[in-house]
Amino acid sequence: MAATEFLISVTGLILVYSLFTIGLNIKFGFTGLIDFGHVLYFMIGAYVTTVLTAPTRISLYEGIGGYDLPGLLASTVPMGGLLGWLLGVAGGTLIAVIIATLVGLVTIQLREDYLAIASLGIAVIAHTIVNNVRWLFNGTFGIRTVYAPLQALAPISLGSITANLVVFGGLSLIVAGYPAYRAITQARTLSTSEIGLTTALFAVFLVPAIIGFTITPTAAVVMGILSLVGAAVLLKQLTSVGADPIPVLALLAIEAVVVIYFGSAAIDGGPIRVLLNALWLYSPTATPKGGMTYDRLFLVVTATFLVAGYWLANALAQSPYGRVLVAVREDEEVAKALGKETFLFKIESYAIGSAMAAVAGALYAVRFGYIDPTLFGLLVTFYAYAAILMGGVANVKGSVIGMTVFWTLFTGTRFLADLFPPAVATQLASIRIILIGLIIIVIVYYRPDGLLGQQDRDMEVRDS
Amino acid sequence: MVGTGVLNATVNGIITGSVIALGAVSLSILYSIAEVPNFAHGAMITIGAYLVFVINKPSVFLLVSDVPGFAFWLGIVFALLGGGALGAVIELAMFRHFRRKGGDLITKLIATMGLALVLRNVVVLFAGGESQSYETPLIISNFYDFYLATDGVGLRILQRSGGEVVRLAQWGYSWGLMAGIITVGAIAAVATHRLYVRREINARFITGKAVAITTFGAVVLLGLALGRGAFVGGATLYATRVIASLKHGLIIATSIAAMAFLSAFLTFTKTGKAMRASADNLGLAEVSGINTDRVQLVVWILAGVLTALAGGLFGWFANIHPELGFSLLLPIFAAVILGGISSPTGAVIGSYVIGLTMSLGVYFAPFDASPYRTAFAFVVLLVLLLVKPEGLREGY
Repeated sequence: MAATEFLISVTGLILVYSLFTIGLNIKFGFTGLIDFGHVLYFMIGAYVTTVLTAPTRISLYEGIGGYDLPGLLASTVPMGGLLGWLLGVAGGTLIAVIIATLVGLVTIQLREDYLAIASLGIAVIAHTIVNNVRWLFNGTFGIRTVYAPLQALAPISLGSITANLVVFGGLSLIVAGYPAYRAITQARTLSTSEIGLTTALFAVFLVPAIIGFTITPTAAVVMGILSLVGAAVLLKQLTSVGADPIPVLALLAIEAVVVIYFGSAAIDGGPIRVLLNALWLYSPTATPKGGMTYDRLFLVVTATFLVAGYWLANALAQSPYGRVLVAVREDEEVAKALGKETFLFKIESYAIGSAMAAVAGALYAVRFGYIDPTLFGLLVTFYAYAAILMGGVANVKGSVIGMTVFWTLFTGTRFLADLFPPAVATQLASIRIILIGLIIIVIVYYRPDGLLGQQDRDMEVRDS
Repeated sequence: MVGTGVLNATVNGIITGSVIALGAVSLSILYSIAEVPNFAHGAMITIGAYLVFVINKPSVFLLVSDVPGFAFWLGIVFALLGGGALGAVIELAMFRHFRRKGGDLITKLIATMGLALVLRNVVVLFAGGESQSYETPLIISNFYDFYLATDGVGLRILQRSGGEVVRLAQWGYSWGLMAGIITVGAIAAVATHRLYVRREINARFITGKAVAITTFGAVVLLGLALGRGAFVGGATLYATRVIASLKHGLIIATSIAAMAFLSAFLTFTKTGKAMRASADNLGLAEVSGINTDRVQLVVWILAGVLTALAGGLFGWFANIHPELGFSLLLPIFAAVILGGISSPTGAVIGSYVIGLTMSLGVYFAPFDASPYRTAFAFVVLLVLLLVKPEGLREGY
């Protein structure tokens, strides 16, 4: 079961960060605004939503609020709890938009480098204030009570094991089915040699990982270095063959799911465990008759928000509005000469991107169940930059794919820490951040538009 | 007992300004000659501060124990060499390629941010995240108490020794003597200024104003040294204390010396002239036969040396931790933009403005504003960007 719980936890985080990344991509990718303080709006969304939805008395809390919107509405309206929470999210987003507009009015006309330093500075100062002012949001102590929407419903049980299994199991298959279908369609476009190279690439990481885990830290390090070398060689081969990155990634994902997620289940618990892993939204231990746990329910909530954000960003990008944003990025003077009020476009794009970060922040708070300033360090912004560069600049799909790949690597390397004594945990954490830095430098050098490049938005010309 | 006041905050501001200036001058030459808005500048300062430990206190690094350290100044020398090497590596391994590829400003900006993540975490990797300090000879701070009395000005120097405050020296000047010294200083300044400007002795490098200010300072100091009398006896109108030590004096002096050296280098040497030409117009410099690759390498080496010096000096009077450089990054950028990004002189002026703003801002704030030191620097920058986006000065 651990594999399913872990998958749900990691997926939840990836979805939240993907929404955050899409927000940054609207600013940076589409409009060309370098915001090194994107995490500011993430923080605002998280704090304001939490304060608006938290109960009026929170233990050990000396900041403003809580305003208990869900509690107020729950007594008057059906589904008032959820509605109250949604109002809270809207409130957090609104505050983020207001602050983003103010920041934008001051900084947005600056040159790229000035904008970068100004946004970084504003984020640093805001973080210092939240960290030091106790009466605002309780300073370093943070907020230990975060309202979790729909928690009263969970665990959901439909009465009998069969009903639970059929409904939630069926739902899992449908939800997982679509990405699986897309991945398989993509992977089928690969040629035999490309499939071979990709599988070798996967094996190069997997085999040493298994061997390393079972032996010693030293062996793991040696194996790790070997696999990095092997991966570099194979990647070079793949590029020289001219393989498309997306099908390769799709195949890697399929292999990872089959081998790690299902393979380990088959070894540990046989076919029943495999089936339970496939029906991941169903939890046999949620109630005595099985059902759906809150983690799973909230994952669905998060996914809904991401889909909405994804759709919105794509619609924006394909609209004439989005084309103006790209024009502003490419050459603001030309856009101006064509009569576009570029200043407004930039401010609006900045506000929309920040709003998405704020919504992501609200989800992030629920997911952790507490918030404090350490969750909103400046580094979080650079997770999103790394994801955009791995995905693609001005590429909405790329933001999600990039964050998935980035977070898988980032979380995967975290497991290496288990092999080493806890004393060197700081060192291992630093190695992972060094890798983020190197990834950013290497990609920005070879592919300034990101690994997947910009989304192809050319219209097809139909013969009639 | 005399309390510290605005004068003490000013002295602190000048010390901070001196350290910022080293970072700001090097950021400014990177900006104008290498055209790199270097967000890794703070991380380079951190590396510089930790390089001193390699010689001074090797036990700071993990897996190293029982290795004796050497003198602090040897550590600084090593840091300067190491910093220069780091600068060279950054240019050769990264920015030379970015330049060849014609990367735009955004690309370089993001690359420097990646570099900052790498450098800062290399420090954590080898030295951990804890605060550290150098092994330096103990320098006890002195209290300088200034008295304004009805009959003149007095100075009393005190030192804390074994729980008690001991008086080291005291003397005073009558108001008449003070007026006389200042008048003589002013006359001497005007005279040398006239003489200097008429002779046109290389007016480009050292301006007439600088000569006049130096003369004034020298004459006044000489007068104060010669005219020392008995401590003032009249009723005290105002008294204020400045806490300072030889360490602070050395930091300010080293910083000024380093900037004078850089200024002389840019003005008099052939490489310096080539650097200024490249800053003016890189293409034109290249056609006139200047080896621009070599110029860029020198710029990065200089930047590495200066940031390492800034790190070593800053680490001397503050705690050293991996975030040390980042805490200086915003003030440095503020100083450089304030001074007009391509002017090293402007960057120095900007640094002192920022240093003083931070120190006096914390002093005058009605609440405990010490966590917001950087914020004061930043507010100045934002206001300036709004009012005068091109900075205070432009060009060399």
